[in-house]
Amino acid sequence: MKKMASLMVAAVLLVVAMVPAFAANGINNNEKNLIKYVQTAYKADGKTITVPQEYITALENVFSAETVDVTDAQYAEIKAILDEALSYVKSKKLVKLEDITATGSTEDLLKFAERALAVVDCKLATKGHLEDADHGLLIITDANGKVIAELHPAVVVKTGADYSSAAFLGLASVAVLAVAGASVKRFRKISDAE
Amino acid sequence: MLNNSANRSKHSRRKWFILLPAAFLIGGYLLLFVCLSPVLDPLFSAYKLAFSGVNVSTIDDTEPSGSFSGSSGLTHGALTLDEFEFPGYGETFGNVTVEGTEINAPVIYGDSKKLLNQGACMSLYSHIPGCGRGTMISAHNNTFFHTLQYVKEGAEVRLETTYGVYVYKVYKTKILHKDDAAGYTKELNGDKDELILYTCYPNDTIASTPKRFFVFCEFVSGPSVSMYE
Repeated sequence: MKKMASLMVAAVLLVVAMVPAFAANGINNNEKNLIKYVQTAYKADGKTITVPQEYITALENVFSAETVDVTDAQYAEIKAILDEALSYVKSKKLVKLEDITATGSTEDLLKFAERALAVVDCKLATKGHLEDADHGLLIITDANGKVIAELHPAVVVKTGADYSSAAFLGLASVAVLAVAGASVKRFRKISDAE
Repeated sequence: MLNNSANRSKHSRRKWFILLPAAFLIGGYLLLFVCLSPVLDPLFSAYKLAFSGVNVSTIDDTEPSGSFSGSSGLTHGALTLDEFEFPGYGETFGNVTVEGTEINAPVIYGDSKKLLNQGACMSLYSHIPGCGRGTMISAHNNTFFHTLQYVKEGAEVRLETTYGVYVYKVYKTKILHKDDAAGYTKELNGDKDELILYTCYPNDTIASTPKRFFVFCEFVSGPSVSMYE
């Protein structure tokens, strides 16, 4: 399926483009063009490469959220990095998200993102492994160190019961006590037998 | 015969002298690990920072900022970019109530693990209410969305935000695998305002579960907003 075959560089075009735009007054024309760039379907070896809509939405949210408009000069610089990133993606034939891991391209892609972020004095950090959709986390901060976005690769997050350390502490205590209880009983039996 | 039995008993006691300390050692370490995990986690993070070159200020999850300051009360109309403030990451920008359940939870912009401990969280992969697109909000099934599964079709969902009051009506519920994107993509990425609430399913399971309980709500009223200049 085309769509499935086309999950592109969420980690690249997405992040690279997401990086830089913090519109004081919403999404400006430069940001709009960056979104358009990421939305465009590209061809690589006869396969279509596109970014899933959810990632475009994340991009729009980041562009809407903050306090700096992408200037024309910044747009040109970021566009050049996007072009490089796209060439890289094509050369490595990264058509599906899994291809990124399979070809060991994660670090290279993140470097493109870091460069694009640097254009607007922002930084990128990761927590956990991005291959782990539930736990991997991409964190983007602005020049003041304020977090602009944190994104797990998974769209649907874990919302199961959140039991605190205290609950597990209780459970562990019970386990230790149970071992102690069993051992006392055992010794009593042995003593009684003697 | 009696000697044999005594020997066996002694042997058995010796065995316990080895097994018990081992069991206590393991149990003790488990206990220590759990007790110290709040201390160890930051240490591991610091270790990673030291060797990965990432910025210290960026590695910690964001704490939610402040509590919901109340809604503008606006129930209809259109807001331009100058007339409302787009929520910042980690900001508590709303409150959600669901008729027929006990849900009355603060809504936070972003859905990291830490934020999910503080309220119902809006995914950055969805749009804020009023954009004419899908809004996706999740919460833990043992806290803020504990009673979500009892919601009935037709129930009113009220989402108050800093910039307006939105009313939705539940029109269907679904239990989906977390990776079954086809089950919610149309609603999430469609071109009409729609609210999607979800939590893990079933409730009260300690182990993580791959299933989610989704509630789909159609738009009834609320002001429209624009993200574009």
